[in-house]
Amino acid sequence: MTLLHCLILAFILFTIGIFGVLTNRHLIGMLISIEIMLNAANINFVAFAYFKAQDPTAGTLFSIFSIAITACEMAVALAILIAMYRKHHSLDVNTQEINHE
Amino acid sequence: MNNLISHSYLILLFPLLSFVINGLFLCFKHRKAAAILSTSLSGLGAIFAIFLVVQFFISGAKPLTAWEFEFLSFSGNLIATIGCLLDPLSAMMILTVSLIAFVVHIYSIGYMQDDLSSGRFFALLSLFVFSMLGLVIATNIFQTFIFWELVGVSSYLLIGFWYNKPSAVAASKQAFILTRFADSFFLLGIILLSYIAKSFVFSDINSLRLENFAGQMISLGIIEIPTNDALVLSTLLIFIGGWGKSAMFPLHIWLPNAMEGPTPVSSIIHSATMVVAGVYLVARLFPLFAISGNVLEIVMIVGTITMLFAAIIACTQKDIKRILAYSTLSQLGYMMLALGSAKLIDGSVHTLGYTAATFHIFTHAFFKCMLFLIAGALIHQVHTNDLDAMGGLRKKMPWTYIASLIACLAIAGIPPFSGFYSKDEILITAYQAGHPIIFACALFTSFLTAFYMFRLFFLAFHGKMRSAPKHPVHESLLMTLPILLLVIPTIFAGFSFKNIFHHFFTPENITAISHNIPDVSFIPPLAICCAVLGIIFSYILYASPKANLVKALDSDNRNTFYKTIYNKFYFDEIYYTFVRQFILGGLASFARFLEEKIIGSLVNFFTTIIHKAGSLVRSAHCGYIPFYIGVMILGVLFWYFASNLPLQGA
Amino acid sequence: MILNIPFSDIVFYFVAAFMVLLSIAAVSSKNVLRSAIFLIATFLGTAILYLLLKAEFMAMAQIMLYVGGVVVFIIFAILLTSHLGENKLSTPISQKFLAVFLALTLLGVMAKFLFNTKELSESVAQKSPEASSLIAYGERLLSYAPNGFVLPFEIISILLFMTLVVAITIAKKDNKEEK
Repeated sequence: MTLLHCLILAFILFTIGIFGVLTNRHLIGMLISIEIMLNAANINFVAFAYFKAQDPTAGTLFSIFSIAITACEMAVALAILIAMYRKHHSLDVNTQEINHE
Repeated sequence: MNNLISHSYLILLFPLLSFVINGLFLCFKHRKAAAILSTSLSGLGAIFAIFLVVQFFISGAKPLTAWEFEFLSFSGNLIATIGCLLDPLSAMMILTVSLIAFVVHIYSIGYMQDDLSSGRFFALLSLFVFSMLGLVIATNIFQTFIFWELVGVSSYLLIGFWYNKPSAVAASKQAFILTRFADSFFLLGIILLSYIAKSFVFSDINSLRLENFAGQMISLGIIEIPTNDALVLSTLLIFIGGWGKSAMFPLHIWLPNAMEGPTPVSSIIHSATMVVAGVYLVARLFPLFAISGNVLEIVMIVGTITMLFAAIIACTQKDIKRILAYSTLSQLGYMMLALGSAKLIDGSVHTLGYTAATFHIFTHAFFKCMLFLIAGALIHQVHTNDLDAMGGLRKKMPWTYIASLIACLAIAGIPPFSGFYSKDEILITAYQAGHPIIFACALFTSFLTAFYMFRLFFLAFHGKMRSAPKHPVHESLLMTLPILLLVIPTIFAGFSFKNIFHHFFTPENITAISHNIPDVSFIPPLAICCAVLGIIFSYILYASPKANLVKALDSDNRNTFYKTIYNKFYFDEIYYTFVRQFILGGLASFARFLEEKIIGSLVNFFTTIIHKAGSLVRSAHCGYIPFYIGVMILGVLFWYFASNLPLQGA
Repeated sequence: MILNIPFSDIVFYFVAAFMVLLSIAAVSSKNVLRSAIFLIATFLGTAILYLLLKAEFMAMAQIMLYVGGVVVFIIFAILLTSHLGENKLSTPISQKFLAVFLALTLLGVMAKFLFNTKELSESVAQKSPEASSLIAYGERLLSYAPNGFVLPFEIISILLFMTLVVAITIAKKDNKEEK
């Protein structure tokens, strides 16, 4: 398990997240894919903190902040989604009405 | 009153003020105010003109430039100015135009009182008077051209005054386009002439001498021709402008059709003032024409043909205004003939033609205007132009009858009325200049003139009434008064002014010949005989108790020769076919093809490209989120691949 | 052969395969609720990875916050906004191919950066770091020293409060609209 392995893993997960964002048809599916991308970034941080940093505490703490902000962002995004669902009654990205908005 | 000449700008100011105030403020809601303003300013102008002209002639009638205002300087001596030139010719024209304008204004108050757009009429009439006066007082040929075009515009607006009538609109278009076509040659002539003479001013142009240009060549771009030939060419081109404006054959067809306008318009524009602009132009440039080769011969021949042609047609027409229109054409031919026959066979110039032509302009204006006003009065009462519907109006309109008799005698050339003296001078010129055929044609035409004018007179006033108008026929004061006003110059203008004309009206820079003048004392009695013969013929055919009026007025059961003349030698149809087939069908459709298919497709090609590009860009606004994210990622990749970021190293 | 490979490596590869497979399942599943469940499994795998990387605090925080917070929230949203049992059609194959192509290109670009950097591409020996205790994390979080995290900590707390207010404001029912 070297730094390179962890980084490659993080990159692969990031790529999967991108694939999910581009392909998914449900809005929450897109959000899930974004979660995967953010998760991959956190793995990156922690890997660097473990392998390279003189000060591993700082790396992990930074990741904690990243998780916190991700949580806030998800909260707001889902609140907006719920408000949007109330208007359109559907969360499909492909439908014509949403496209013409 | 001290020096009216220094106030001579008032000549132009009165009609211009009238036009501006009428046109901007009064013509929409205040018809009566427009009429009164226009007439009173025109009256002021007439009074001023009388005093000015009298003062001018008393003080010796030396040509002078009263005022000049430069507005455009081309190069060197070529300066375009607006100015006022006072010399005998322009003074005579100022007087004529102002007096006739005033009389027609009074007449129009009565004639147009029931027309709802009479405000516009008076505004346009003032515009016309302004343009005509500007034309006759011009100091240079450029100013002449400007006001020439303005006169054409006023004529167009006034012929098509009743714009709801398709025939009026067509006639105004025809008039404008034909005269405009001739004016394009006029402009070419002006350019060429000013290039040779290096000046626009009349006095410079009229003092050109052929000897000064001997052996010089000028280059016209692609070819080089001797300067003398260029001078002749420019003179010919300038004459073509007068050809169109004075409706000489074959550009004559617009004048009879211009009778679609209201009668006051016909009386002032198309009889007395505008159509003599061509004659005026030739008279003004007479020294130039005299030195320019054979142009005067062309003038003479054109004038003769027009004179004869129009007189023949007038003998068969039944529309009262068209008869008078052809009569105007014929008299214009007389004037051109007089000017043109000044060139003797041996090349020297006889100046009597100039005097005769200008004298005839003067007298013709008054009796022709009066004839048109009479025609207007008749039409107003009987509500139709057609002679078929008139007859026996002698009892109902006595004053008009007397005035009409005087006018017809004047135009026929019976002394002591004015027409006799001026026509006589023309005949003398034609004979003295050594053109016997022209002289014979002129005599024959004076016979025809008497014939058709009295045909009109007898058919309109004598006999029984052939139609029953709805309202009782009577004479209205506002229309009869101007007619009677014009009787005075018709009777007296001939013998009173003959000597003045002989004394003052000679062209400058030309010495009159004094050798080999044949005896001409037989001409006046000969002319009177021809005229009386004409009257007798027409009396026999139309007014004597044995006259068969039904047969005389019948225009259908006639032989082909009569029918050809009745249809005006089919010139209208020739023009119509020419325009339709050649111009509209040929040139215009070719131009349309170029415009729509070639240029249009080029433009359409560009718009299609832009349209497609716009659709392409619009597709980026799809609102499809995965698309946006994909494009973002593409941007990142593009950024990498396009620049190959050197991000090595920590 | 098994003896030559350290045990932690085997665990690492296993966890890595687990995470990758389940995240692929998470993004390509047609049922969005199943996607969320697969997401939970992915996060669990991440937590195990953190344990391998000796960041225990991080692993706990991951499970508590992500799995216990975010994914639960997502499931709430799914259940509130969908009719259970509905089947979504998938996106066209062309779009999927394009997405795979783009993603793989991006992966290639990023990997190229990775392998061009010398320090990263060399194999680095494991360093065993000092074990950080929870107290050390806490002190670090609240210290005013230049490498302390007290300012981000305060800002995060404000952010969380704002998020609370915002989420309620956006998602509450507007009495005027619903008639």
